[in-house]
Formats: sequence, structure tokens, C-alpha cells
Amino acid sequence: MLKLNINGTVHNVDADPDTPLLWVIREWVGLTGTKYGCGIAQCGACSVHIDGVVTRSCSTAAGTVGDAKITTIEGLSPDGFSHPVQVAWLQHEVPQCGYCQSGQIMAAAALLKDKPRPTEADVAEAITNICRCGTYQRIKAAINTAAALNAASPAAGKV
Amino acid sequence: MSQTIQLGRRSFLTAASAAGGGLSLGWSLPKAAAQSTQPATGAELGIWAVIKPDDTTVIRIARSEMGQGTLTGLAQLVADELDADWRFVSAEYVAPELNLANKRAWGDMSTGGSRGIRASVEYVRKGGAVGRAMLIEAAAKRWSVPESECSTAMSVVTHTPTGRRLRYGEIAAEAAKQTPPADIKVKTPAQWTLIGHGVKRLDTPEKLSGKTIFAIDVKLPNMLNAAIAQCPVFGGKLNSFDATKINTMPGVKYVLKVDDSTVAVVADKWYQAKTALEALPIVWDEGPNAAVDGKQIDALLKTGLDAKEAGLGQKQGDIEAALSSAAKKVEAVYGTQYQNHATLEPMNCTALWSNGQIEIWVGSQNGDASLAAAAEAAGVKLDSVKVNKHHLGGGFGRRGQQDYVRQAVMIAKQVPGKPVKLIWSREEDMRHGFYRPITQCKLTAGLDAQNNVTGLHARISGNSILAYLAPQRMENGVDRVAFQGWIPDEFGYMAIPNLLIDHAVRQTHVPVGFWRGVNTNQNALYMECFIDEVAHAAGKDPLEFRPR
Repeated sequence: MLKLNINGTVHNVDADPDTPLLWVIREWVGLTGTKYGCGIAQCGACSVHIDGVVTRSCSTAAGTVGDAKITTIEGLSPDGFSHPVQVAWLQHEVPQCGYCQSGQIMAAAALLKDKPRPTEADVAEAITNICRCGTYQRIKAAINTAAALNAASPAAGKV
Repeated sequence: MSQTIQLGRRSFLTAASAAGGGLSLGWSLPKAAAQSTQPATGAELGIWAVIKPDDTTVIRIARSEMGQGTLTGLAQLVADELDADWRFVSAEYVAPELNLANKRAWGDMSTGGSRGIRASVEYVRKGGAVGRAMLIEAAAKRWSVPESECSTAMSVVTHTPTGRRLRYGEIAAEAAKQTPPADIKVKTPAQWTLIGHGVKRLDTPEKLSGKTIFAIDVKLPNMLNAAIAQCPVFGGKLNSFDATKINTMPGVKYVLKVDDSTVAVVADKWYQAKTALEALPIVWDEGPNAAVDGKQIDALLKTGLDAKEAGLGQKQGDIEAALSSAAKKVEAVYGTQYQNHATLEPMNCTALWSNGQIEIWVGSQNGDASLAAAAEAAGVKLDSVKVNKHHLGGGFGRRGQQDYVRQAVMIAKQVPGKPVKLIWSREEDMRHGFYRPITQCKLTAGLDAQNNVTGLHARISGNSILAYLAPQRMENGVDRVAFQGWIPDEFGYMAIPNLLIDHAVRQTHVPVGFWRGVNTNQNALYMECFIDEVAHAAGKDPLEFRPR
């Protein structure tokens, strides 16, 4: 039996410890905002935070997470839209099909936590998630906006 | 500029109306007896809008949303004519079975070729205008005033002379009892308040919080999950598999033959199904195509570059004379490869077979076609199918095909009473697409002594989508879609006095299908690269050299 702390709730999960965290989150815990895209840590659709570090859950064995705090897109903000990244994403209307966007948002939120004022090179290096619709330009613009929102209201960025 | 390529501006309007592009499955539903529409959750004003007492305005959407914004655009069209307050507007899909039962009252559901809005504009606007007329009629009756004294704006009917007002939600139930007018006028563009005005997409907020339920996210009671393997060689068959080797693996419930070339593992969780499938010993009969490699396909396409036989796209003047008398000739061969659609949400479909009825949950570019495919795969009549449409995690043409729907249904039929969600692994998704066609193109241009282009021959060799998917749409052996970007003339090169555009069809064993932009991508690349080469040969600046 695995014990996993996801979005502040401890879940007891009857899954093999080798099961990728992605599938434990989706199928055992039932949170479907985290997506399956490639299964080999290439596309980033499965990105979650583990103790604040953005991690590709499709290639992370659930048994290795231990007591660490897992945050999924559902836990990024209490209401689902108030995190500065979500606010900026709405303002720029980043999503098209939307399938990759949970991962994009989680990656952006982790970046801004580490680097509140990221340079363009920082963004290019940190955000390697694939968007098949091609929303990259809006992602970049929205990250800048989110950084500005963070600067204007530092408390809002704490997650 | 004096060269002969002087051909008028490229027209984006022409580009936008390129005939024959995109998806058209040439498929229609037989007529069925009319039935009443969905049990109303509010007042139905015509068939496109439902208004609730709190003014909430639900716009019905027949097309599919896959990121292109059609859901919001169609809602704008209806809401503007309805004079609805955009803050109250939401959207819901029309169920394909309701469309079927009502003689396709909501029109074509197929979503591709950039037609989702263009082909719906007129009737959805009229649908909104009908709703507005019914609201005015009901309000005028309640006030005992002439309809001509009533106006509408922001979900309110106003009696202009007295200033009396009724919110749409207050009058909608009475409005729904009015007879929809047979003939209706729509607004002039100057009267639009939503059409052509930026609004926020209706589907964005849910996409920021992980709440959007794509088909892959569907959860149903007692649901099982399936992973499949299809013969890794196109045209090959499933010979045998040894289920005893995986029967005891965690979660495994069934190991099933799906069709002649496909095996599925059904388990409690999809990850268990996929893990067990990877351990399943499978013997494939790969057939003769197993020997085909890229070199052979390349050689096959080369035979088409100079073949005598080719389907004619466009011809004018005397190309042979123009080329043979040219002062200078430029020739080049280009090629493009197969491309997978690679929608980020892998192919998936959930199906439930129960008491002779089949119900599916799917992201599809064509709800009607999914219904028909499910009926065919289940061996039932069309009226025994229910289709739950979900937003697509990418379409790009791939989800116009219904292979994954048929597979889900064939699996579900073997597991009666339990919903089964079929998900393709990414590997399966890459291996079993309907790929963008592989083609090569040989271009030959003739220039006169003054470096004017006097003749152009563009010969495409390679796959034809229509020959593979819709042979009934071939015209005397010619696939007009193969010339997309050139015919109709999007870039202004087709007015060269001596011109020949043709296509030698060379089919391979690889399935091909409509891909975003379809053939324009390849053809534009061929032509634009070549025009650069011709410009260099003519000693001209490539930009200056182009028609404008």
C-alpha cells in the first residue's frame, strides 16, 4: 500500500510501487487534470510538482515519492483560476485544444517560483513541454505577465 | 518588373475557400422519423438556444471543438442574432443521435477543412434570430402591444414607448410556445455586437484548472480499460497470442481478439492493461509489406516523376514547346515525408454494450460518422447508438477517421454491461496513423533570353488521399486535393502562359489521410523553393521576382 500526499490529502493507494505516478494520480486517485501524452517524459503533459519541483509523472515511479508533497493542476490554486499563471493564461487565452496546458501551467508555475523574473532564455530552457497546437508564443507572453503579477502582488505567487 | 509571372495579388479569400480541402466523408444518414428534441432543461427557442429562468443561455453546438475556437465562434453567431448578453452564454454539444432522430436538424457535424464556422454561418445566425423573434412575440403578447414597438438588447426585451422591460429568463417559457417564424431576417454587419468582436473563449477557464473532461478522462461506474496492439506492418494480420502468459498479471480481466489485425488486453486500470499487453506473446503474420522499406517507396515515387501517365490538374498554352525553346531551363526535384498527426491526446474511445444498445464517449471530428461507425461495428441499427461528444485533445484531421471508435465498440461487445475505455499508447498512435501523404515533385521552368518565365511544369508523384479514403471523389482518376495550394490558385503562379500541373498517383501500403492544411503544405514548399531557384537562375531578387 502506497501513501501519497496529493494536493494536501493523503491517499492510500493499492498500486504496485513501480506504477508511474501519472497513472496512480489518474487511475487510482482519479484526478484527470494531469495528462498522458507520451509516457517517456518527452512531452510534459504529465507535469506535476513534487515538493515544488516540476516533475514528469509518467516516468516517476509512485513508490519513489515517499512523503514528498505532490501538487497537481487541481491543487495549484484553491479555486482553480487564481494562481498568477492561471490569471495570465486566461488573460492571454493561451489554450487551444488545452490538452497540454495543465503541464504547461505546472512547468511555468515552478519556473516562476525559482526565478520570479525569468529571462527569455530561462523560459526557453525551463519550458520544454510540447504543444501540438503551437501556443508557444502565448505561453511566453503569459509567463511574462504572470511574472509581473507576482511582482505586483508577491503573496499571490506563493504555492 | 518584366517577367511573365505577373499575376495579381495572392488572395487569402481564395485560399480560404479552397474547394475540396479537408474532410468530407461523403457520408450521410438515412432519414428517420422526427422525434422531439432533448428533454428541455430550460425554454427551447427554436433548436439552437435554450434559455433558463436565470437568463442562462445555452447555445447548442453541432461541430467539434479541438482548439480551433469553433465552439465559441458558433455561440457568438447565435448569441448575436439572439441579442443575448454574452455573460450568460454557455455552450453544449448536440448529441448525434438527436440530430439523427430529427432529420439532421442541426446540420452537418463534420469538423474539418476549416468549414466548421463557414458552412454553418447562415443557418445558425437564422437560428438565433428565430429565438429573438419568439421572445419579442411573447413579450408583445404579454404587454398587448405591437411587436414593432419592442426591441431587444443584452438579454432584455424592452417596450420602447413605455420603457417596460422583461428579462429573457422571465419571458422565455412563453416565448418557447410561440411558433418559430418561417422566414427570418438576420442583422446587417453594422448591427453586430458579438460577431467580429473579440470575446473570451467559452472553454478556456476549465482548461486552466484541469477540469475539462476529454474523452480520455471519462470515468464511469464499473469501467474497465483496454490497451491494444495492431499488426506493426500495415496489411498484416494477427496470427495468434498466448493469453495464459499474462492472465494472472495484476488487474488483467480479458485478452481479446478485436479484429483480424488487433489484440486487446482489458484490465481494471489502463496501466495494467498496457503492462500486460507488453508481456503478451503475439505472433503476427506480417505479410508481404514487411519487406517494404523507405528506399523502395522512394524508388516507386521516382517512377512517377517522368511517367507518361498522370492525372491532369491544369494545362494551358504549349508547355513542351515553351520548354524546348527556352533560353534557360531550371529543374529541381523536392520531396516530403509521411507525417503523423500526433494529437497530444492519444486515440481513445469508451464504449458500453448493453441490451442491444451501444453508447460511446469520444472526441471525434464527426459525431455523425462516429455514430455510424459504432452502429456498424456493433451490428445494430443507427437508432441503437448514443454518442457522448467530448472536446478533442487535438484533431488535425486524425479524428475524422473512426478506426478507434470501431475498435472500442468491438471490445465492448465482448464485455457486455461494462464500459470499456480503449486508449492507444503513444507508440501505437505513431505507428497507426493516417499519415500526411508522401510525395515528390519535379518542377521544370523555361526562361526566355530576358529571363521571363515562359513555361512551368510541376509534376507531383506519390500518395493520393482520395484514392485511399474516398475513391468515389476521384474525378476521372484525378485527385483534385493533391493540387491544393495551386488549384485554386492561391499564390499567383497558375497564370503562366505555358503551364502543366499534373500528378502521377503512386500508392503505397501506408494509410494516408487529411492532415492540417492537407496538400498545401507540401505544394507550397515545392513551389516556393523552386521559385527561389528560378529567381537565382534569372539573377533576380527572389522577393522582387514573385508576383504581387
